[in-house]
Order: sequence, then structure tokens, then C-alpha cells
Amino acid sequence: MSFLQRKRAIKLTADVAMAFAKDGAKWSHALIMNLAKKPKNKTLLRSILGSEYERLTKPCLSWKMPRAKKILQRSFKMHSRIKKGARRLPGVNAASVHAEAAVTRTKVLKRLVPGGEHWDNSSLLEETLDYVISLRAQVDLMHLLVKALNVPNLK
Amino acid sequence: MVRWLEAPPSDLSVLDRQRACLNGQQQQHRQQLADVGHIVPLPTPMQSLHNTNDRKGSGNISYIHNQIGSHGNGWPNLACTKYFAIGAATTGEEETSIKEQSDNSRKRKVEKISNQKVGCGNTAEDGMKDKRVKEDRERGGAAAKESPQANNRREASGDASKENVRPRKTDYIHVRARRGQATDSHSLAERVRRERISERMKYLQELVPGCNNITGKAGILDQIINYVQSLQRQVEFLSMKLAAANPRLDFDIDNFFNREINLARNSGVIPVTDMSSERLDPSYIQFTCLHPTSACCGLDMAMGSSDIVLHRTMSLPASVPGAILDSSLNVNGSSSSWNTGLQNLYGVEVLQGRGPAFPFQSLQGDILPRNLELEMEM
Repeated sequence: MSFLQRKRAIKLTADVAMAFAKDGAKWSHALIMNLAKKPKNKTLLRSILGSEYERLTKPCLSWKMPRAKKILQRSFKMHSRIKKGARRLPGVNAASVHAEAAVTRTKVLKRLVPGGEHWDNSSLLEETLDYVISLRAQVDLMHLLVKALNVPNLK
Repeated sequence: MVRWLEAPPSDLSVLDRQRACLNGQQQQHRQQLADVGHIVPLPTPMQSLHNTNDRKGSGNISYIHNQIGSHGNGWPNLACTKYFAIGAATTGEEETSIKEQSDNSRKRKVEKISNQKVGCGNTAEDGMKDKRVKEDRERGGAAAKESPQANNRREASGDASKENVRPRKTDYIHVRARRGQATDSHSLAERVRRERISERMKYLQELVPGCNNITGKAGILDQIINYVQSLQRQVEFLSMKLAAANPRLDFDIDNFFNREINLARNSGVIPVTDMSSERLDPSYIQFTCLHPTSACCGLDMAMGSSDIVLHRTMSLPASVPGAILDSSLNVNGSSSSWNTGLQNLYGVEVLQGRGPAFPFQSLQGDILPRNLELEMEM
């Protein structure tokens, strides 16, 4: 088994364990589903999740926004943008720059958090909070493991 | 457990009551831990996990004692957390599950606080108008918490300590328009939404280190993104380090779990590593079987958790089960065998450092120093 394969397996295990530990969150479900898409991971996932495998890999549509609502939101945003554009001066405003910066960063965050593309802003922030906590716990755990296994530090 | 947040001191009586509630919960937790001799039953997903993995002797007992100090600025200091787990799948699981419970309870309470803040800020004013805002189904999760809260606030404003676990009765959120503001349903809904978002940004601001001084959504989002990216990179790096720590592992990830599960069912024994050195097998078996009994040393627990992580990623050749059965019968939880097992493990580690692991050493030599420096900065 090569080094990279081992590393991939370890990372996969850690991610699945982290996601499975926090079962109530949307991001965990999304993470497991993303991992289950690749056929390589299926055996590992199946063995770790056991009986929950079927339930967790079933696509959960309850938190995805339905198409109708997306259309409504988009039309509302365009409408409000038109209204605001008519009132303010054309050109670069501080407020518009600020808003655009926030929007681009929100897009980046959506890519980082597993499954973030489907949620709206407020639930995105909530899931990010959850995700950050779990990630931090995972990192601490792995630090402890490394310490316990006495990995030689080559300098 | 620890107080993660310092809620804004706007409504002190409510906050004090809720803090008392939370502290009571924490003390209850601590008491439970203390009373049962540092053993708590596993939360149910963990139990199902253990049961399905057919692990004997570890399916019922797990122990977490979480001591978290805090930094000077009030952040919980996870770096000095001690995780102890016997027979845990991963300590991180229980840790996060317990943390999440406390975190969720805190979140619910702080949401309640903020909603009451909104309400209390308005009730004192004159010329108010009361408006109903229909909530969408997609915000149902938060709305389910908020609408019973809003109802509470309107009907019985003094009853602040009620725990917020009602089933969802209505999709409506009752909002009061502040004086001098538009009472348009759209603007009210927007205001509610904006407040919710800013509330969550506040939580994130307190969680992510280093964004106390930064105001403005874009800056905070920037910090959050950096933090999440750095955590993910840390996970990658640590998994690489763990992979480097065990260069003698051999596992064929496609087939091995099937084999492992079958063998485990047949022999009723936790599968172990496929190490070429014979003496290492008994030591690993001793680790796994000793989990329910040895409860003292933190290193034991860490070794236990490491072993569980490792044994998931290891294969089990058909020839070993015989040896496993024999050696597992000998294990009684005696500390001497534990020590020899540890020595064996460390002995093998030392050998691996010098022996045939040279290609890995060169790889480590390139990658690890740089990443170690990065890690020191983090």
C-alpha cells in the first residue's frame, strides 16, 4: 500500500467519523453523500457507518431549496437591484463594493463547507459554525494521535 | 464543559437564569462523570456504530473527561483538552457529540435571548404596530425554534427559562415593527433575516480566533474562510503524518473490510494489523482487549483510540486469526503485559525509523519540516 493511499484512507476515515458524530447537521449528511459518490470509498463507508449507510446516502431533499423558491428569490433580487440602481449614482460606491465583497466571500465559503451550495445565507452561517467546531475537534484528536504514536519528527 | 460564548449583557435577568441553567447542566455532566467513575454510556449513534462493528467488550463503555481551560481572552483552549476514551471509535466523535449538545443547547438559548431582546427593545416604545410575517418552509428549522419563542414572548414574557423543545405548531413569526420603521411585510421579513444573519456572524466572530477587532461582514467572512481552510489543511497534514507513522501497514482498501467483517463475525475478535513482525500482533491485541479494563493512563486511552483508527485501516490475512485467538485468551488486563506491548510497539517504531523505511524517511524529510513550520505558526 503506498503512502498516499494510506493517507487518503486515514483522511477519509477521519472525515466520515467526524461527519457521523454530528448527525443532526446538514453538512454532515452532505459530506457523507459527497464521499459516497466515489466508488472507491464505498467499502470503507459501509463498514464505518454500518446500518446507517443506507439512510445517510439517500439524497435528502428537505434542505435543498426547491426550484420555485430559487426562481422567486432571483426575481426578487433583480427587482430590488433595479430599484436600488435607479436611486443611487452609477459608479463605484463604498456600500456596493462592500456588498459585493461580502457576496464573493459568501460564494467562497459555500464551496468550503460541504454541501453549502444549496443553502441560504443564514443556514450557511449556522452550518459553518457547526463545521468549524467539528473540524477543530478533529484536528485536536489527530494531534493527540500523532503524539501518542510518537511520530519521529525529522528536522 | 465550558461556556463558549459571552452573551451580550442586555437582559441580565434572563441571561443569569439561562447561565445558571447551563452551569447546572455542566455540573450535572461533571457529576455524572465523577459518580460513575469516569464512565459514561455512549451516545446511541456510537452504540450502533460499535454494534455493527461487532466489537466485544467495547460496545457499552466509553469515557470522556473533558477539561478545557481557556485563554486569557475567554476562548476555550482546545489545545490543552484531554481526551480519554476507552474502546472509542474515535474520541473526536463523542467529544463532538457532547460538545454539539452543549453547543446546540447554548445556541437555542442564545437565540431565545436575542429574540427576547428584540421583543423587549420594542415593548417599551409607543406607537407600535403588530405585524405577522409568514415564514417560508425552508427556514423551517430556525422558524420552528423562533415561532414558539415569539409566541411565548407575546403571551408570557416573564417565562424565560422554558426550554425550547416544542413541536412546530405554526409557520408564523410574530414581529413587532420598531418605531419609525416601515411596517411593510417585506421589510419586516428582511429585518428579521438580517438580524438572524448578524446574530450568527456574532457567534462566528467569537468562535474564530482573531476577528474580535474586525468589523464588517466582509472582513469577518475573510477570517472565517481562512480559518476553515487552515483547519482543513491541518487535517490533510496530520493524516499524512499518521500515514507516515505506520509505514509497515499493508491494506487493500477494496477488499479488506469485507474480509475483516467476515473474520470478525467468525472469530468474534477484533481484527488487527498485518504486521510482518510477529511480536507486534499480540501487543495490538492486548491494546484492544485491554480497553474496558485499563482506565488510568491518558496515554492508554490515546493509544486505544489510535489503535481503533489504525485497525480500521488494516487488513487481516487469513493466517493470523489462529494466533489472535490464542493470544487474546491470555490477556487479563495486567499492566505488565500492557507495558511489554507498549514497548514492543515503540520498539518496532524505533526499528522502523532506522530500517527499511528509508524511502519514507526521505519523503518525510522533504515534506515534514516545512509543514512542521507551518504547523508551529498555526
